[in-house]
Amino acid sequence: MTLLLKQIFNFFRLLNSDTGTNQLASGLALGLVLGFSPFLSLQTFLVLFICFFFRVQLGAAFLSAFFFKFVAFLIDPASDALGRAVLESESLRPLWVSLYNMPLVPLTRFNNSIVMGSGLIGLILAVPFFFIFKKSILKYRQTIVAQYQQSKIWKAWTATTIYKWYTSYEKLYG
Amino acid sequence: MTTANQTPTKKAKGPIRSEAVVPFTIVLALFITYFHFFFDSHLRRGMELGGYFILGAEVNVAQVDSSFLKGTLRIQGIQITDAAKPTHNLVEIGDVRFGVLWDGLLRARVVVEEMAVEQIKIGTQRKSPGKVKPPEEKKDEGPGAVDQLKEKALNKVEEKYDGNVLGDLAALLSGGSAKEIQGEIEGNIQAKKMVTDLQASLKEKQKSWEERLKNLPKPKEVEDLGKRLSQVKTKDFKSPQELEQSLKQIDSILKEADSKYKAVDQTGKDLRSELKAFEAELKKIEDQVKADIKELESRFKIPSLDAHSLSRALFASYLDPYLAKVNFYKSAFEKYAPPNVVAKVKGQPTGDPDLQIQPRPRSQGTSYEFGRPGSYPVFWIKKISVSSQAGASPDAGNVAGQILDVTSNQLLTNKPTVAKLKGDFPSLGVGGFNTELTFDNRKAESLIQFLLKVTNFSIQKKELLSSSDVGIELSKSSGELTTDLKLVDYKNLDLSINNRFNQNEFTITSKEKVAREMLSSAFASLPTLTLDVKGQGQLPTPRLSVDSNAGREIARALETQIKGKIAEAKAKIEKYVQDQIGAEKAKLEAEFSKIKSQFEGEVAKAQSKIEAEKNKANAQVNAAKKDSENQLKQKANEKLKDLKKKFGF
Repeated sequence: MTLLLKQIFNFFRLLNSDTGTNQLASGLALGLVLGFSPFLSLQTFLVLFICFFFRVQLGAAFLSAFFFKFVAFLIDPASDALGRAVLESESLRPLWVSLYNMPLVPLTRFNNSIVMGSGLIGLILAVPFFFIFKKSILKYRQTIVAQYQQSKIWKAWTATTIYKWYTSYEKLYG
Repeated sequence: MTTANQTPTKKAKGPIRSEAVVPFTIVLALFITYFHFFFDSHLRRGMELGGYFILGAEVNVAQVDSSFLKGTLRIQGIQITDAAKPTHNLVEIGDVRFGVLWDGLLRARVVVEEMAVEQIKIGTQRKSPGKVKPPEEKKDEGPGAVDQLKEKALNKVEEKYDGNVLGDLAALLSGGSAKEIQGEIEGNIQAKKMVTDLQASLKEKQKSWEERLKNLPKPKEVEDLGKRLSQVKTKDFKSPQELEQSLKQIDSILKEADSKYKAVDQTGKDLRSELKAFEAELKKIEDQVKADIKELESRFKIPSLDAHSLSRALFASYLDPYLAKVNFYKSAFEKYAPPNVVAKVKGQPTGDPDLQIQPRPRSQGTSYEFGRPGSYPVFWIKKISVSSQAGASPDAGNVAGQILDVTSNQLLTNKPTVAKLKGDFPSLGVGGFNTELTFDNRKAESLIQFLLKVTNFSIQKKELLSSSDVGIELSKSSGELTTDLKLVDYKNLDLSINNRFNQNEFTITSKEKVAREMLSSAFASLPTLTLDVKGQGQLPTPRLSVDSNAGREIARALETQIKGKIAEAKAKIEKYVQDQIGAEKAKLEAEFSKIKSQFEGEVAKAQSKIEAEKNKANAQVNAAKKDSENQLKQKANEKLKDLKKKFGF
């Protein structure tokens, strides 16, 4: 829990800094894929592995997954219909038959209508949303963060000894 | 060397999170530790809990050993409590071992090459009584819970064999039944109530019919029509205009008569249809009388000497637990079987099976099975080898056999599930047990075939009948059983169960000496007691017939002594019912017949009067027309004569 909270605090710290834009955007985009995937499936473990192995912002991924899980739940009927249409498509049948009988692929549970539907939605949205997240973060920093840093309250806070101690600690230990 | 105002610069981090190696290793170690030390115990508890909820009785598992790398599982000491007798186990299995194929696991399928089941014991004593799941409370969504279905099944069986026929016969032998008829049934005869209701209804109808008759044309109105008609000129017309005027007058009178006739005719039709409906209601009284007599016969326990009823009554308590168990497991099967199979059981359309696509709807979307010939189904146990030796433990049986191809999709394996088991349980006195089960779900119409043969099984103190009037116990017997079941498409049942009981010793108790002696002599004359159950038809309501030579023998023995008494009691009830409603019914019928003839007569009278006036009017029209024609002819002749004269002819 402490690790999770630390990651979420890091997310807000990075969001308000000038660095880590790609880490944050990729974290949010991977979180979207996680949110649209069932918990016990191969793709979830794969995305989690990517998140842990590469320097993706974990807090962003978890927050995004948490948010998009609700979105996925709300659009379950649409995902079900999309999944059925894709899985029942006669032209795609040979592909599904061979995928279903391959090793590892069935562990994605692609043969379930909701998993297929929401998985497709998640994968299609992940790439454009990466760029949308990236642009939004930059915009946020340019407008809201810059404006806030010009405020008297912020200036007063940065002048305090506590803040100076905190920045020194931050520089030393990250 | 760094100066005081120089701060150490942090090294830029690469894209790979190398510092995560340690936490990842810790998490992995924790996983391995959990699976090594705790998983088996949690799996064991999960099995016990799942078994309890599915089977409705405590399930105990002594030990579970699993190996993730080898893909093996060993379950030891499985005990399933007998819900009907919690101090004992229904079955106890010493050892179950199997390994799953990694090849299958990587494809999300459970494929077992061979499963070994050993040390089977039946009906063993438990160390402590097992917990039995209490029946679930009824929910608004309707039935569904296994226990509710079980209860329903039990109720159905009880209902089917309701009534203690032999007890009633014994009571009748003493002259007990149908004695106090009068006091008991007063006010309970439905036909009597029906007669009273019809009497009230007839009175109401009479009023309404009288009202309608009042609205019919009065005799004076019809007479007026006649008078008006007689005043119309029908001959010696001086001009065509005069003729036309007369015809108009007659036509208007005719129309008036016609409208009155129609009104009378409509009233007549309505009346006749209502009288017919009432007559039909009157006829229903007869049916109600018959139903009342039947109901009273059952209420006063007037038994039937039908051999089938006697057989059913005699073996009801012997068969009920088996039937209830069959229903319970059928309900459990419907609850936990794959949805496409359940759809078939419930008679929902499933279409012809398709090898490539098998949709299985669940609450979370629909899962499709994209199989192809030779591919693994989701679940497949290729072979279960069952072996057990009686010497291993006092309660164990000698069982040997195989169960082949237990699978979730037979289309993929293209093999039916076949089970063949044989052996004996010496401690239970069961010998020559041989069973064969075939379950073929590959075609649209699935087939289940079950054969069971038990050469001998001993029976000790089996209570067949226990009532306040009669008690019959099979104290000692050696039975022989043959069962043949065929179920097509989960619906069409063809069942035959044949039991033969030899070396029988019966204990018969009855308050009535005559009954006791009669039953004792009937059973003594049977060296072999038979019990044959036949079931045919569509589930869930197949026709079940129970037949036994005991039923026939008892019927024959009782016939001479009791037949007269039954007829007497039946006649008594019939007479009472007829006495109660006969007079009232006759009165009602007479009243109805009187009203019917009165109203029908009145309508007919009015109709004939108007019809007569109509005919008169028509005759007058014809006469007027004839007269005018004659006049016209006469005038034409006169004119012709004048012309002839003028031209000198």
